Amino acid sequence: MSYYSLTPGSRVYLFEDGSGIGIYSGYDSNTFFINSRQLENVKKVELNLESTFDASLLQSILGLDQSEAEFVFHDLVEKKVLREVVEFDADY
Amino acid sequence: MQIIDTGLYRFSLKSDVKHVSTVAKSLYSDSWDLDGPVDFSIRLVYESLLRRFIKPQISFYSDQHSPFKPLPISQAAAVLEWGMNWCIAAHEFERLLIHSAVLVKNGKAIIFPALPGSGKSTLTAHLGLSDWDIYSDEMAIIDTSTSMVNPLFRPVCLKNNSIDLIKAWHPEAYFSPICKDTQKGDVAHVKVLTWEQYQKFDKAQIVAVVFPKYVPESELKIYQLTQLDAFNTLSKNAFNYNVLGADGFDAVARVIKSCRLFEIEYSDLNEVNDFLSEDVIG
Repeated sequence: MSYYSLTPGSRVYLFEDGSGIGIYSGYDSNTFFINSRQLENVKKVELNLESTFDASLLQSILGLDQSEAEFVFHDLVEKKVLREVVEFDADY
Repeated sequence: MQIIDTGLYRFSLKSDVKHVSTVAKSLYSDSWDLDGPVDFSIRLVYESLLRRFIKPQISFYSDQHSPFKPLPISQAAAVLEWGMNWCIAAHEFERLLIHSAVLVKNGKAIIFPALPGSGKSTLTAHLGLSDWDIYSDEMAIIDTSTSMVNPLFRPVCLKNNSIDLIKAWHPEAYFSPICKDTQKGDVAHVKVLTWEQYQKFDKAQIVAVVFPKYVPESELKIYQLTQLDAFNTLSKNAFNYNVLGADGFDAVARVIKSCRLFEIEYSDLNEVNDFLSEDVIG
């Protein structure tokens, strides 16, 4: 199972009015936004460098359906806002 | 050489054009202090002997940089102000600069990011010459760590019809001579505060972001903005957002988090004043 987290220097800001999230890419310094489907129905989530991400988190905080969430998630990976966390096997 | 002290930034000015020195003296003279270092050495000079006498043109220099093409000498006073704006916008890498007016009342600041033609300067000049403190007509200078906005000692730049309007409403104010037919139309600068008033200003907490839009003969309409829309527009209005990187993102996020966010359509400045004073500042 793959885990993803923010690349160093990246930021995710969850707008408190539920309008969506703002993302700053530590990879290329661009800022982009994802609108929420659930304005004024905000879920409080702590997002930081150590958090791990998957598509279901985007579904939960933005009200997207599964295919939309997976599309956005893969877009974030492609834009290098998210990176795969590699877990080393201690026995290897 | 003349010293122009805007509070946060000090300029030393050398000008080949006598009337620019006179205008600068009228707009800034009470802030002049010859002692101390300067941030920018600026010059207004003729590019050539030919252009000194035939259709004279003037160039703005900050050290060796000349950001604009030479312009007719009749626009020299406006070129000075535009050049000073350029110096700040191109060299401020510590604070967040948003293209915006800033008005303050009771220590609470409202910033007005706006596109040209939105009536921002008319609104700023009128309220500032009434009972608001003008911290800036052109740029909100925000500390990235605290999100407090800094005051700047600068005049307000008026264009076209707004010059006559503000002259009629505030005949006591000092206006620089009108520069005709600039790329922005007719331009004049109005002095909105004295150095003594400026020195009493402290950094202020931003409590609201208002995007104004002048619509002739309309009633005041107020729209609440989402944080996402406001963040998007604010970051696009920032001169140095990309230069600041993650610090810029964090600073805009802090401003958005602590502010009420509105877009207004207006034609009556008194209605706007009532809305801002009673509903926003409270």
